[in-house]
Amino acid sequence: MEQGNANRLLLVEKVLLLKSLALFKDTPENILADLAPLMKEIQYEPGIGIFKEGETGDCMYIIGQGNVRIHKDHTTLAILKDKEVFGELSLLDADTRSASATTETDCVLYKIDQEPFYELLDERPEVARGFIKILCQRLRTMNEKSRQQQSN
Amino acid sequence: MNRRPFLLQLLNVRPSEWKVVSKLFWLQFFMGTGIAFFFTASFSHFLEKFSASQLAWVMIISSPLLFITGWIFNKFEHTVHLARVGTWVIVLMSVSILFFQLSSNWIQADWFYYLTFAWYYVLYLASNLCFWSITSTLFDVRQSKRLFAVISGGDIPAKFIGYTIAYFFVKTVGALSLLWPAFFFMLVSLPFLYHLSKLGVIHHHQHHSEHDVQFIQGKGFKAFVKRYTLNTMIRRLAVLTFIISASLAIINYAFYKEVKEEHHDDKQLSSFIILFMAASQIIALLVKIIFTGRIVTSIGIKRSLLITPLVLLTLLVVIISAIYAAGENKLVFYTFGMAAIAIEVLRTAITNPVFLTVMQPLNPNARAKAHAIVKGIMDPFAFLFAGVLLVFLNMLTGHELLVICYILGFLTLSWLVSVFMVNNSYHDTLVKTISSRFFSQEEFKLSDEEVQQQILKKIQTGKETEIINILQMLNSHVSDDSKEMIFKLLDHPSDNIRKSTLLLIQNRNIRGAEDKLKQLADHDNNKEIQYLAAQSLCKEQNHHQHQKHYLHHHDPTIRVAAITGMLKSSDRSNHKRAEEIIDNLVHSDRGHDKEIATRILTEVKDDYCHPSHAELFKGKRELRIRAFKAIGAAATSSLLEEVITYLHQHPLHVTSALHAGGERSIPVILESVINVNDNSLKEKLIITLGKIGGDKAQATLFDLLQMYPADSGIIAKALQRSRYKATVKTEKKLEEITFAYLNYAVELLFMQRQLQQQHKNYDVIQSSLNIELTEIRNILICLFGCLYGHEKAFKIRQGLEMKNKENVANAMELLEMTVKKDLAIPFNFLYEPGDVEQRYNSLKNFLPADKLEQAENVLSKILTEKPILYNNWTKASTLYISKKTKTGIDPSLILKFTKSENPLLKETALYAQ
Repeated sequence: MEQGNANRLLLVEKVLLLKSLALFKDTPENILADLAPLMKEIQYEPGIGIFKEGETGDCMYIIGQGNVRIHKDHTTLAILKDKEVFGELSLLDADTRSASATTETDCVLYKIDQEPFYELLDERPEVARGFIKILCQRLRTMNEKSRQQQSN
Repeated sequence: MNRRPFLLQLLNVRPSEWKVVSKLFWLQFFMGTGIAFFFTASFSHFLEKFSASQLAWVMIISSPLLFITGWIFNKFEHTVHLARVGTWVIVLMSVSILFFQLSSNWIQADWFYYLTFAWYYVLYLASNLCFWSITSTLFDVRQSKRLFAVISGGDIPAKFIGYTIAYFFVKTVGALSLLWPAFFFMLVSLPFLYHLSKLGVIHHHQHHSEHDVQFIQGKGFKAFVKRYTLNTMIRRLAVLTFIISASLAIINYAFYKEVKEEHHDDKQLSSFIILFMAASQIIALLVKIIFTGRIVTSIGIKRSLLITPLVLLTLLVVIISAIYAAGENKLVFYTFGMAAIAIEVLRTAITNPVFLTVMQPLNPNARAKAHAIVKGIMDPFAFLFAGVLLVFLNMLTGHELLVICYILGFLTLSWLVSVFMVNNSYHDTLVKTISSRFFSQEEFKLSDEEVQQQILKKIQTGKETEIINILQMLNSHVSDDSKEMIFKLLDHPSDNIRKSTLLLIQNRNIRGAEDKLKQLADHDNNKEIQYLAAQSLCKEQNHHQHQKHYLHHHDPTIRVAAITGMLKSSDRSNHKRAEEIIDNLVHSDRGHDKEIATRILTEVKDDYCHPSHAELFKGKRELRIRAFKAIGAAATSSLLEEVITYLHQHPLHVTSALHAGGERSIPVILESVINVNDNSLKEKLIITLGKIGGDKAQATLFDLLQMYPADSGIIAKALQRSRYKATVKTEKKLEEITFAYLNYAVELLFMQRQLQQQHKNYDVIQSSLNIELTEIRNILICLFGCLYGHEKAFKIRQGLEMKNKENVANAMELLEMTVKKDLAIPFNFLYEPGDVEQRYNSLKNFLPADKLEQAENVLSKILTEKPILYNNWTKASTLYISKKTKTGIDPSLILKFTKSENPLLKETALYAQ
């Protein structure tokens, strides 16, 4: 595991990366520009455990490059690829990880820790507002899904 | 001179409501005038041909007609849009009047006379139902309460003017010709309904199934009866209304009979009845304006409702005595006339408004039904009863008037009994309601002994939430009556209730519970209650003994309570003693003492400021932040000056402290705005001025507007935050700024179009310009709020932010109706969903031909920060894209950002160099 390198992304590029994620597609770039400085670049070799099931989560990860396997013991739940996100709920609410995450290939991940994120929310209410919007949209989508499942 | 503000103030109508209220007034005015003409014509026409005893048959005929009218209206009211129902009703009323006018030339049959007069009652009910159904959808409860007097008052001058005009008409053209003006006036009311409908304020009537009282579903008479009998109060109101309507019908019958005997031809009859009606309307208006409010306030609900039957009873005694003394003579005639006027006036001016107050505690669904009772839903039954009774009486010979008087006497006694029953139900409903939701004392009379008894009973037996609601109600106005009830709550077993009561006693400075407070402070099981009780005791003047006792209490928390209590007191010696104690704590070497000092200062922050408060800023970060949070409305200017020196270090906490400092912070903020270099800090300070609000802050914001025109966007936001309302003086300035921002937005749109026409990929800049356009939209909505009302502006913003197309369209419609056309039209073109080209075509004449021929110019324009100060993201993305797309840009424009304090901008500029 290695933190940062010479080819690191510019802040502008980090904003554009965030914007390209499904999670932030509706969040204006000027708000993401406040979030981008919190992104820490980490490089992983294949087969490295990022976190284990049951650990307390206090950060989220964005895959800049590579594949990450989400699994419970030996059962693979998902293979996540470029521009996908995992552990995003830990950004807002520390809880134990429900599954483990291990790199499948060489990976460049961007990590956002909870504590500086909280500080940002403290200083920039508009960022908090942006996140509340995201959560509301997710909640609506889930409600809609559960309504559809019930009607089916 | 513009008289409208004075008139609005006089009528208690807000400018935003004026359009609707004035249209409602004219709607009712013209309908009322039409009906006044129709009544005069049909009444005179009928009595010219038949004896007055035949009026009883008119009542019987009108009864089913009224029932059918009510039933049909009720059916359509809930299925068809009200504006449409209203239109149908007015058109049908007009056509029916025309029909009677035209048919009168060739139908001479007796039934036609009966039908014409019975039709008057139908028109009266239909217009009432139509008008009040529309009105009930237009305003919320609070507006209805405020506007009801004005709106319902519209009927009275309408009828007065109607009858007065009719008086002059009838002398020249005869009674039946009055149907022409009746038709004309009825028809003239239609455009006002149309305008109301165009305003988009009339809504579809909905059943309130979500309310706590189950809505009785179903059709037919059974369901109808059930709807009005399930709730005790509604049932009793219905019975009372029935008695009142029947009494009025019988009195009018008797009076008209007397009139008929005095006047024989139709012109004489009409003239008399017109003068009589006009007089009764003007008396009603005077009584309503001058006396109603005062009477109800001073004597309460029950006594107000008793006035009418008691007056009637007195007049009946006079009439009966006169008949026994000298038979039917002029005295009897005039006394009956007086009775008829008195009952009509008192019903309109006192009974009906009091009924509406009585209905206030009902839930909205039940209240809607109760309103229908006042609207006339009981009239058919009352008319049938009165008609049958009078027909039966006609069959009797001899002393008919005397018998009528005795019947009226019996009805009046029932009326009195019924008032007591309604009053009891009112108390029950009231206590039940105030236990379940918040009420203020303005909505009922606490001086009423029965209400007091009911509340005391509820205090003993009610649930916690119910009693807290009662406490909130008592808090709305503390009087000797409420004080006693408040003290009783200090004995309540619930901790929450005792705590809330103590807070109320403290906040409202209620005195007289010293012994009880001491008992709670020393012996209560709950620490928080002990604290509040000790604090309340130490707050009172001349309680040095208590203060001494609690300042030396073994429990440190109680000692804090004593100090905070003394600081909250208005007594100077209390302050001085407490001040010395705090001074020792602030200057103590122990961190714990400083913590206690901040805790005390936080609690009294709005009442007291300690001279050594700023000493606490010198401590550790956590302590400093706590000391910032301990700043409140009592902060001195010197403390605020000290706080602002920490602005760069703790921008959020410092601006919060300045906000809490209120108006005293304004000069400190102004000075800092002038001197600060950091734009984001400047913005925070300007917004803080808006949060502080009030005349001073708003005046300062206007000063800033002159000093820093480039910051007018953020200043507009701050003005909106302060709920600023433009005056005649400032309107022009705000409109100028609005125009300027519309111009900027159009320019940005043109820039987007220029970028779109290039072959390079400028999507990131396009997206940034969209953010800028949204920002300008928000500024414009803030300006609209200041110019045309914040509530509407809020609704417009809400609608525009929703993704649903219909909501956006509705918001734009609302904007067009609210905002000046010159501003609304370009705004809607700018922000309506659609592509850039389409929007450009709509707006191309708005700006002179632009000079932005090349995309390079667009990028350069952004970097030279024209026409607005773009946000850092827009500038950074422009720098980045210029490098990526190899778009040539003047290097000096990039160079200046390499020294920016903003890391994003600096880093991107260095990359783009």
